[in-house]
Amino acid sequence: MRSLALWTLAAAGAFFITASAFLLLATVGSEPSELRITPSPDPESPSPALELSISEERLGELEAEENQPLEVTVINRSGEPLSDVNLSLRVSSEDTATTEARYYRASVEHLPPGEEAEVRFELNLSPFGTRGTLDNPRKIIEVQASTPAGATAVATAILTI
Amino acid sequence: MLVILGIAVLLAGCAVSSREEAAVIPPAPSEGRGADLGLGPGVRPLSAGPGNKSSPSWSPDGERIAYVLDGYVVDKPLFTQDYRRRTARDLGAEEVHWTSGHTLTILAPDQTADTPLSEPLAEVPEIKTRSVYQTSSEGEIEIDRITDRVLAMTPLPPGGYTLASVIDAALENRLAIISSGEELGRLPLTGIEGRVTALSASPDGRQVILAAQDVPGNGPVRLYLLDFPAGTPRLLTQLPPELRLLGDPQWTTHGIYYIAGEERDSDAAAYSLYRLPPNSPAPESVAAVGRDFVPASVKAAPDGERLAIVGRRNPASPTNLYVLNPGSGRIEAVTSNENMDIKISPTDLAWSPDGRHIAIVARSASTAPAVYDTQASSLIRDFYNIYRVPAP
Repeated sequence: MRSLALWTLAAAGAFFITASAFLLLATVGSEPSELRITPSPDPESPSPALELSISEERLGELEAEENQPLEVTVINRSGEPLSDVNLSLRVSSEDTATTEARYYRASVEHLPPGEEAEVRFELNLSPFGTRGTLDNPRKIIEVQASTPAGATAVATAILTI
Repeated sequence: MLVILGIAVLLAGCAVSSREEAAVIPPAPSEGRGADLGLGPGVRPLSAGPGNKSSPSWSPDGERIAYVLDGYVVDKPLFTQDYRRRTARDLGAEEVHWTSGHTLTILAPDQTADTPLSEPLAEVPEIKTRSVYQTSSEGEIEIDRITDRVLAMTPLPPGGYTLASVIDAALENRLAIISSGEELGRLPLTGIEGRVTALSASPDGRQVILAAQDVPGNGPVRLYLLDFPAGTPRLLTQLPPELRLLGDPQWTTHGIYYIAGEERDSDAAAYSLYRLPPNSPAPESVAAVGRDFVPASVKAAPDGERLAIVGRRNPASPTNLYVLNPGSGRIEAVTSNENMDIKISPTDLAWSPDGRHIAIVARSASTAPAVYDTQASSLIRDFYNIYRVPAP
């Protein structure tokens, strides 16, 4: 009878130690959200296979009018060739009351490893028809690139025109 | 029994873990400035992404923040992106106050413009009235329209009630008392000359300061004090006719503070911070802020012991947030603005309920184009966003 009681006590103690260890790990693993919103790049993250580049100097030349040419450079950072790189570009307003947006598409059929390709878009950057709550809202140009193999990249440009 | 308890403890730990990992405001590594958001150390963003944000208001427990986003109202936990839309998108909301529990009180354009009730107002076309709404329940975007023909409103501490200055059908001033989705009653505001265009309450809710003008935006401003709810308005002082009031007068333990100045075209330098000492009809310029200080908005802390002031040290310096302790006369800059455009509307300044933080709205003032390798929804500085600033 006594050995049974000791066994039960020991088993319960072991269980609590294990449970506490799990609890501690869970707490350590999920640092409070308060600590997470500070911008800080993750030095351990692997280099992406795809990269997008937009010249800030070129952006500075754009005007709030139609037919504004913008070149987007797609770079293959992987050691493998990439095919069917699809690019989608969206022009929208900082003022989200303006639901209007303009969409553009392009693709690069083949991109050898380490190579880059320049894709040219003709953008309509004239003011949106619907007015929101800001007098001079900034324009947002968001470019997303993806391949059927799963490589992705994103670039966002902010314009004050 | 012990085994069941152990499992419960284990599950509780996992539950806490998964909840904290959900929808945290994503970092913005491509902004490339580390913890520097252009407003100085200790400042934390409470929102991210595009959208014109304004009128921040903390929940009574300080865990969530509500604000106006492009004309509608949202609320969210402080540090996650779990936005919850609380109104229809086309409301045109101008101001929101988190008055109790899940209740948000909202000021939006008056919806009675086409009804017979608004006809008497045609005689005084300068008057722009609005309506007060309240959210009905958590998770619903349906809101209740409580009171129309409103000129100004203020939450009434210690919580749950809202006061609104309204014009009734006979064009008389009334103070509507609002709570739990309904108007509980109206107090007459006898003896007040003109229209009540601004009001605020003391921390204990027993005194209400009212500012009145013959015609809103025109004529001399008179400040009244009302012992709530049983008293009648008592004239405290009348400002010189050329002075215009900016925002609501603020009750502190050391007197009533307000910003006033001459209206000149885009020249905020004409405004000053004034104090009306207790039991005195003579306002005095607040020397503690400095002779050249240009105030834009002021808000008293929940305990009435400090003042948050958005302004500039002198007309040539950047806009910053300051905290003034009226008792000691000590003023301290709590932001160090590095090319940020801080909103200066009185509604864009809010104390947390515990008085430890102040919410402001700002975005980068840079006009140069910028490129990031992240989505726009993760960007902070480039759009008007809410920031939490530690208060001394």
